[in-house]
Amino acid sequence: VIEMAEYGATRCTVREVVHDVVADVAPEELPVLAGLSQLDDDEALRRLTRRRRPRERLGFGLDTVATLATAITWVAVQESVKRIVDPAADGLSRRVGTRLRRLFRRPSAPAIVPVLTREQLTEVHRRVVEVADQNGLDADRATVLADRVVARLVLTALDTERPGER
Amino acid sequence: MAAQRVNQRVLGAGTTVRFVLLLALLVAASAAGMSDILVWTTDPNSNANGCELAAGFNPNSGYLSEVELLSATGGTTPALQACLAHYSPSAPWWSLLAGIGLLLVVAGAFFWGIPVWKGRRGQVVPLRDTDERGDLEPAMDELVRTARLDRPNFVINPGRVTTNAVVFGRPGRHTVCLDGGLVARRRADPTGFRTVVLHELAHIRNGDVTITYATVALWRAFLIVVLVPRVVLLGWELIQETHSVIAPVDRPMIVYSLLLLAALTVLVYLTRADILRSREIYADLDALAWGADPGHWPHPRTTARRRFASFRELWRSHPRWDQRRQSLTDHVVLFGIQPLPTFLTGAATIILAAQVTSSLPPLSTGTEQLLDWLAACLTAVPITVIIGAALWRAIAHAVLTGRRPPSGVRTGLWLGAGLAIGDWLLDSFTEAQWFPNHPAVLVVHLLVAVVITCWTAQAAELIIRSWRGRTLRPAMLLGLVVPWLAFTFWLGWWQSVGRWFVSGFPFDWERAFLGSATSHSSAIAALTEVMAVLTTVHANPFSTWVVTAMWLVPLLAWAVRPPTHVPHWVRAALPGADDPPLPAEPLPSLRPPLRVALLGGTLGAIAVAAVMAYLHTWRPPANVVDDLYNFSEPSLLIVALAVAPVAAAAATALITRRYRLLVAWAAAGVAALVAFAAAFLLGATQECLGPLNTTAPSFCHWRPLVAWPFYAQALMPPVLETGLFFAAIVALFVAAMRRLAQRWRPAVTAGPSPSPRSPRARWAAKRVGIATIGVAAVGFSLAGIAPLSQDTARTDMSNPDLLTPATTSVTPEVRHAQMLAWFKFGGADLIGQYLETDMPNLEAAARAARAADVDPAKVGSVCTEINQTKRSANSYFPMPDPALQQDWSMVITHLPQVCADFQRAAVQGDDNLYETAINEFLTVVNGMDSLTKEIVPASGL
Repeated sequence: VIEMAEYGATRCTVREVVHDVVADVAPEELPVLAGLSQLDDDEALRRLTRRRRPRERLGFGLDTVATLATAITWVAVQESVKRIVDPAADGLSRRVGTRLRRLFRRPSAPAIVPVLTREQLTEVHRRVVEVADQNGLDADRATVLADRVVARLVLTALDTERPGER
Repeated sequence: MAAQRVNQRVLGAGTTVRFVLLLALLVAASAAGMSDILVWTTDPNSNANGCELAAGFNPNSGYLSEVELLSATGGTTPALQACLAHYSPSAPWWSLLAGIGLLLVVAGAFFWGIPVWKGRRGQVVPLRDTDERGDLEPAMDELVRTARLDRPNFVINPGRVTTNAVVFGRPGRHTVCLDGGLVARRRADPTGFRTVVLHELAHIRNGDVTITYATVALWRAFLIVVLVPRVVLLGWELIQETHSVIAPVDRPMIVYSLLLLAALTVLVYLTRADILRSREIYADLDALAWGADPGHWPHPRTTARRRFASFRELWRSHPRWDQRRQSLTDHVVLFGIQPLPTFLTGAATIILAAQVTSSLPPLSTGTEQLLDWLAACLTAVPITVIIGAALWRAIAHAVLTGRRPPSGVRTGLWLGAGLAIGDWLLDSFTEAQWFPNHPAVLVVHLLVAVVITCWTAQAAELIIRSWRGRTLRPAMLLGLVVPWLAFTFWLGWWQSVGRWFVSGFPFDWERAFLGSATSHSSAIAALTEVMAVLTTVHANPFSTWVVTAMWLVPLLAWAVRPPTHVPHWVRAALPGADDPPLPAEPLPSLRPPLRVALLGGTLGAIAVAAVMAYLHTWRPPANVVDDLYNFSEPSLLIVALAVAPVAAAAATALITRRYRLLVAWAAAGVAALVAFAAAFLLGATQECLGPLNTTAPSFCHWRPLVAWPFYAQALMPPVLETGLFFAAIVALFVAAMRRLAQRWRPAVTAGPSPSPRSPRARWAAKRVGIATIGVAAVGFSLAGIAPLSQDTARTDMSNPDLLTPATTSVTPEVRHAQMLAWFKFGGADLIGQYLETDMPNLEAAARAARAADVDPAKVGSVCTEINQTKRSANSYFPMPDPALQQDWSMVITHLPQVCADFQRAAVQGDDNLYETAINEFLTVVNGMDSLTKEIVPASGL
């Protein structure tokens, strides 16, 4: 929240939103976020939602999934934004594009979070709670997390738009 | 003694040696596979097999290998050599080395590339780039200091939300990769974080990284360079049409080759997973010792076990969580002997031994023998260390915790099963057959393995209880020298000779031993088989020493005073114990076994006397050579002498409670020596013994110099080698029976019958007694090493005359294939030469109204051609079908004579001779005609 001033009137990316939320609710996850920031959005999302987890030789052998605010926020926000920005591109063409980009190692540009309507914000809130539930976060903390995400998105909207328009 | 926690590092677990065995197996299998690929490149149509078939070898009776035997003994016919040189040239000598080089380069690329790929940017991020709060790096430094390591490279895989970590890299450049989930949970679960990282650091400390990835790299290289090309080639061979000449006899070989490759794959995966599971537990224990939290090893969820769960676990690189949790507190798991690795070690060893031998290029017989022995010495190292270490660990643990030590029987059975099944897959004796002729011979693997493992186990307990050193390791190395010699002997003998007994030895033992004597009973025929085994065992220079060492060396333990203070190694092995136990215990007295040995020796002497009395009844008169008698005398005396050790071993196994095999075997050795001394006395004085005299009637005199070579060199070695081995088997059998009987009828639990605490004089007497036995045994062994003066030539397996002909059971298919091959590799050219050139030319040159009209010069030039064809035909193979060969040889020999007759008739103008020649020519032409008519159905042309 403190860094918000820096963004000022500029438009803000998904990873910035996630960073601010994580720094606020789960600062111990910041190293993970720092690592994820080096990947492009699609790659990060792909890794975070990957189902298959290879059994590593010489690993400790624990495949318990940690409940990470980072993962929940990133997945929920990026998916919602994608759907809002380009609802049609959820199908084949997008997947092919992602594959090709990965093949040629072209990072996609970081997704920009648009100004969201009340309904859209409600939808993001619902999505965060849903993903949090899937990841095993208890309901209270899930609601807190969703509130924070929505608050951060609203702040973006306030910063981006002139006051009085809404 | 309360159950103590024994330091898991009291002795090495032998996993590194198991890795090394795996690597050696992969390299040897690659070499063998590559030589096959090279053969294919120079001879894609398997013309070598065709030449062998054309030469008349019968693959169906397992005798395709007869060719190898023949070439090993220099008996290859020039025709076969010429055929092979022309149709199946061998690849240049350096090509195999180049192939191995390629394999190693590919393996090196994987070894170098795997960590690079795993640690590439985009996959992982260096820890320092993510350490925004600056507390991660110091935490890692602290953990590295705890593990006393050089700092490895730490990276994060941020996309992984699991709480795992993994280590990879190559020597000197290790990377610990932490899952994003683990890093994120560090604050919430600091002990969990610590535990996981320490576990990974323990992997580095234990040297697991290099060897694991070396195995992975070599396996992948093997897969690409050898396995896949080989499977493709074999599959192609199996289906291709041009191969049909020998397809029916070749198919089993191809299928077995594919089976072997499949088995090798399974072996590599199972072994690697098993070793890694063991290494995981060691890493857990080290992490625990460095302060990891035992609560962090999760409790397994109590879900219903899935079907085939234990089968699935065999393939996993991590043990089940309940096992890992259990081994944190109870080290029993770490000291137990597992059946699976034992079995796999046996299979890997026998495959390794065979692959090493088969990948060696053809060399001179002497060099080859030397290399075979060198290979046996080396291949015996891993099996000895792996099985030895497992037994020694288990026994050390049992001694320290007061449990019952393992007998070694089960280990031996698993090991033997591995050897036998691995051997079967190798198919070196079932060539061209689906099943070997005498599969029961493979059971000998089990017997040998059980004897060696039981010996190792009992010797281990004997040494461990009397060891005073700081560590147990030198004791183990000392105790494994004899098993290593035993495995060397076994692997070497089996590779060079033993394997033949499974397929049926292509060697006529009856003719070798009995010579001209043909009428004899089936008992004598069976005796020739026994003598065959004895002869081939004795032909091996190791055999006497191995068996003598096995029964003699343990006696040394009785000459050493047991320690009276707790040795240092016990304190080191039980770090937490306030009052470590004294492992020493009084050894059972040797007096009763020695008495039994004297009795056994006497029994043997009586048996010898009985045999002499029997032989006396049909001894041949002086100056008459009776082959049957000459064979029966030594073989029956050997059987009689062997009564002594076998009886002594059985009786001793009945009366002793501890170290049964060792004591029974020592008693058997002493009994053999006693029986031999008595037999020698009988033999040297037999002229004075009337009904015991086996020689031609002569005057009574003492003749030690005549008797000595016969007794010491012909009779003693088989008794000291195979006879004593048999005695050991009998002792183990009796021991097993006793144990079974005890199960039903609980034994009186009387303690061991210890020798009383001996005063100094007793010790001296004991040591003198043991030294006397040792000197006598070594003396006899030395005397027996000298080569046999008589009968060696006849039982010399390099004598090709004694190879049994393979014509006994030629099926129509094989005959067909042989005839076809005979045609393909030169026969068709010869027949064509006769039918299309020689015979028409002769007819044209000799056609005239009378002898004087024939031009002798013309006939002469035709005769030169015919003689040329005769030489070619004689230097080619005879026809594989004996009936057709008669006609064929008639044509070859008669046509030149006919031509010569024409020439003589023309020169002399002799019309009578001319008439005779025409008739002879007609006979030959008719012969050729009928031959071609018969050949067509015979060869299927």
